[in-house]
Amino acid sequence: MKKIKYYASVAAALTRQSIQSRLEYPFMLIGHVLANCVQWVVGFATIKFVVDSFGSLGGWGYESLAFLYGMSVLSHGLAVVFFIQTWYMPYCVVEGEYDMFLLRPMGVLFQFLFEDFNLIGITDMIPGLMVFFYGCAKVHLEVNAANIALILFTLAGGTLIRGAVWIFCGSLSFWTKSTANFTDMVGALFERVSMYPLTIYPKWTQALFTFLLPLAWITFYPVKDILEMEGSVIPVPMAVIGLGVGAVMFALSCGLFRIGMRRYESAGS
Amino acid sequence: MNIIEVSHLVKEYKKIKKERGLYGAVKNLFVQDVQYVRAVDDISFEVEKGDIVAYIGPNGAGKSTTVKMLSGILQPTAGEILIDGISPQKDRRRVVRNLGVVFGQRSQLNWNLRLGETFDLLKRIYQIEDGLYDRNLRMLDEIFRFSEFIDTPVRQLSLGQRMRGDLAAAMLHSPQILFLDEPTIGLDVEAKYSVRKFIREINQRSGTTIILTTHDLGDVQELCRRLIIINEGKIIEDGSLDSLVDRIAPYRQLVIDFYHPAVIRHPKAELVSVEEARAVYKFKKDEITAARLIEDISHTAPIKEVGLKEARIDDIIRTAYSGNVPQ
Repeated sequence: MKKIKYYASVAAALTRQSIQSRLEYPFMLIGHVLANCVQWVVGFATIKFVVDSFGSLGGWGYESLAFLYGMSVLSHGLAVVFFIQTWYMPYCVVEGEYDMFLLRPMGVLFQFLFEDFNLIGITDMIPGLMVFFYGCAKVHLEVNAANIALILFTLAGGTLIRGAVWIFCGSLSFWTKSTANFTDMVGALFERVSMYPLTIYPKWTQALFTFLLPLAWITFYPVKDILEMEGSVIPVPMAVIGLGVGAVMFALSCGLFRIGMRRYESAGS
Repeated sequence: MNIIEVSHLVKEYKKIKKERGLYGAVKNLFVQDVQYVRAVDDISFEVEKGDIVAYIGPNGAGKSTTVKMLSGILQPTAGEILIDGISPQKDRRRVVRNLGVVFGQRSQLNWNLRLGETFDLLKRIYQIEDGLYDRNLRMLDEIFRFSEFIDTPVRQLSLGQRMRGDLAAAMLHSPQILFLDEPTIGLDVEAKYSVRKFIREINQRSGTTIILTTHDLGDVQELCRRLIIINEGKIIEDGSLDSLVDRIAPYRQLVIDFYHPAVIRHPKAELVSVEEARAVYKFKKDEITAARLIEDISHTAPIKEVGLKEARIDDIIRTAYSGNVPQ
């Protein structure tokens, strides 16, 4: 318990400092918020267009798609808020930026993730929230404790899965020592699998994203559950399984990071 | 009591020889000319609590690599390190809690915010009690005078101020051991003076053990009783500066200006040159003192002026680096 309080207090201080740092450069903030709004509106417009043209997507109607899209954007926003630092992992390896964290008596990954807390990521979520509430309204989602819990579990699980994949890709830089990384490619993958129903893909792709690279658990299965589409074989809610998948993936990625840290060679004099 | 123990420490790097041109780059994908380079090659030493040790060597000798292994940043290829009985490889966090490390060419201060913010953050990370924190801050301010710029964003500080900030930051949690890697690099005389003063005082006041990596031989002369020289990954000298000087340059030179030209010899000194009224004598430190030599010679002829020349420390260290040191 004491340890959690300790980590929480340091996280709070780091977060406050990151926000202070960002506020030193206000025009960047404004520009970013504007760009994000445009991005998500266009994204949603695309879906609307597709549905209007083809009637349904993977068997999903317009309302369900809106809800799915909203959930996807929300979990994307959360992942960006907590884990966007991972995009700089290769840079840190090559430039020796981990030294500072290693010299302090705390976990390196923890310090690294909170080093530059991404306040802007929250703005990513504003259009997402709008679409989400729109989607909720369209599917006439009952506002009860169960649904709220399921939604929270889904978001938590989805964020952990995304974060885990990013940490995994970033940790590879301990071996490749290059400044390039797969994170944008992976980001595109996240979008394709979480914004649209899995059923639009061939069976083998569906299996791939269900079992091998469990991205379908970010939104698809939990949302299917929430919208009560076709009976689930397992008595446990999909959102809970999704959270479990996320936790396991996250633990594995952290493990990879730790192994990679042993190979760290620092840089400079 | 040994607070630092290093035994048979090795750090090996894999160096892939890269070939030129596009053909070379493609060839490197399939066939690689791999060489193993030892940045640190089987070194061992001990440091007693409260010592100030200078760790010097030419560029690329392995100094920073050693310090990084001692502080848990790098994993050794082989060998053992014990800091206050704990291995930084096995229990990094515990070791680091008692360590203060400053790399002269890198800063741990938050670039965008005021200096004080980093201090606050460190207070939390090291879980420093309020009372101790205030006392340390006051003590460090006496030495570094950072209250003048504690509210300035770090990016606006001069190098000297930033260095003082980094040194203070490293000491906030009262570590018993300090690793200072080039702390005076690029500093003006005033800043160098305050850094050296800090090292002396913190060592005297708190008995802090200090390992100082430096190219500034002034630092070495002023601060360190003990000197470890590393070159090409191996330790070539480990002892006091005085003993090194005695071995490499045991002779001193005495320049005497007489009132009238005189050729005066002395059994314990070599008369190197005589030019009109100026005579230069070479003598060994352990055979006769300068004072005695002057006294003896003055009995024979009145002396107008004296000058004593010591071997330059730069030359001594360069000789040491080359490895041509008589035992």
